[in-house]
Amino acid sequence: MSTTQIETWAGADLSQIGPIYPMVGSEMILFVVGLIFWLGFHVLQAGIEKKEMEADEALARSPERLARVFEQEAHE
Amino acid sequence: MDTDIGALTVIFTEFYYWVTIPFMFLIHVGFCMYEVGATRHKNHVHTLMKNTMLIPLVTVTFFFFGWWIYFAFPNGPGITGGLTQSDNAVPWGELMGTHLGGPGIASQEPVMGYGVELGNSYWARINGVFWAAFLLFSWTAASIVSGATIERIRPSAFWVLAVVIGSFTWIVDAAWGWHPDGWMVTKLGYHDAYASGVIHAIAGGFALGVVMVLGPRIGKFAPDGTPRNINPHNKWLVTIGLFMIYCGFWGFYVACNVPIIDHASLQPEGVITPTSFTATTIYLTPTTLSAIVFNFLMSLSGGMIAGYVVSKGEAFWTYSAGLAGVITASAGNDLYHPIQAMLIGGVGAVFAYKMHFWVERKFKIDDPVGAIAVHGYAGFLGLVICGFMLWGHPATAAYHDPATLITPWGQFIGACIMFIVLGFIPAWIVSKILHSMGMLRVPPAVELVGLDMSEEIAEEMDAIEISEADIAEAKRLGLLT
Repeated sequence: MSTTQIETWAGADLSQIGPIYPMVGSEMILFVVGLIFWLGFHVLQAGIEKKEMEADEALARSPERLARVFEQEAHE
Repeated sequence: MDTDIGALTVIFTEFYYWVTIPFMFLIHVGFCMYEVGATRHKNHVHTLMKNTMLIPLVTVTFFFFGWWIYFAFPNGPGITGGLTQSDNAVPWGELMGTHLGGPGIASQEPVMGYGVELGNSYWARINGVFWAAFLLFSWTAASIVSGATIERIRPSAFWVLAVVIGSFTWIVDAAWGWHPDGWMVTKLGYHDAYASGVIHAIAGGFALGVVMVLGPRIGKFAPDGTPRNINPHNKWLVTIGLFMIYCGFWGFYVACNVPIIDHASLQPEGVITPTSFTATTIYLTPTTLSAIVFNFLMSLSGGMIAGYVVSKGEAFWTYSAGLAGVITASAGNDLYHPIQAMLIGGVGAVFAYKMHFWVERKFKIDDPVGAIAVHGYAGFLGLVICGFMLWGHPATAAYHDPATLITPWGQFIGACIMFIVLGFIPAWIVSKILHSMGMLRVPPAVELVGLDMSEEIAEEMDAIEISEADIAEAKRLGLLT
């Protein structure tokens, strides 16, 4: 029993062996899962970033903080 | 792999491309250092993460569709033919994984399409390293755009744009103009051996399209339109970053070559020539590693010398001019004489410098790192110069008989396709869509206070908490009362 197509290398003719990753035949399913994983990042991250920007915008209303940032900027 | 020499050729080629990959990784390290150095303190973390996260996003999308596009799109499709069958590059293909080159167990069908005559044993060894070498070019294209957008673009918007250029538009241009059978090569005689256009002009045009919609940073222009300097926060980081990019360029140049091929195997049917092993460009036209080493260093030097003079010894522009020099000469650096490469590099550096400030003043374009000029304008000019310098030289490999020849007009049309059609226009359209959705630019208040506000406050709270814990412990030990 092996998750790959290989159970022993003894006597193996490499010229006749193709893919040796586990679960050959599942490539299309893996591709679909991969696409969901990638697109999921963009969707989730856009939402996270929106909330983060709203929070930052609220924090930016502090005149003291703004003054601190501008003072630091003037010395850079 | 049927003969000893065949096996050695394949395994050497596999190792050769593998070596280029960590070299090219340095380009990305350099871009990250450079961008952070050029950014004000209040935006450091976001600038870094914006550029860092393009690595995984462009990588996975280049696996999902970028690699397939390169093999499937040489004819347009719809310009000189349809999609090309390219089984070695589809993401669900068995050759896109660990494979020993045999006919396969699950699939008994041999792969079809481009390079099919090379067989499974060739693609099983080369596919991954070749994919990665192209992928590192994808990161570079996207990273060039990143620099032009710092301090005001939303990271999530940038990542969408990074996937568009990194896994779609640049690889379409590679299929068209950086492929031995691409329609721009076979019909226009387009020649761009080390990517003046296929990486640099397209990325510069793309950056311009984004920046035009994005707008300048707050404070960049005075009310009367005069540009203000927003100087780099850390000049040393910028310096090391640019040196890293120079280092990475070695891998980039080497990865643009095919290291070893028997030129006799490229001859048209019926034409017999003696076996003659050589390195070739991506177009399978002969060159040597020595030629490109001469020309890389001489064009870098020409750019730096001219840049130092024209910028009056300004460090940032001297380094950038070195890059502009290489980029301008790259289209023909497989063939130029080294002194020609040096002079072309010098011309490109002055052109990029002058264009940057002219465009900034005239059109109020805020390009904080000069990416549009160094990559876009220099790349465009380099393609046009190449058309004159290599006029009449064959653009196509031996098996294209009669050959398509390099011409100034073919190069000019090619430069416009790279900069405008595949660079500027898609970027402008996607940026407009993101802008209309309110997703492109950070709110003005956040831009003013800095994109790292949340992180800075969190760090301040952590520091206060630790300080309070230390005070409590000091009191418990009787060190404080």
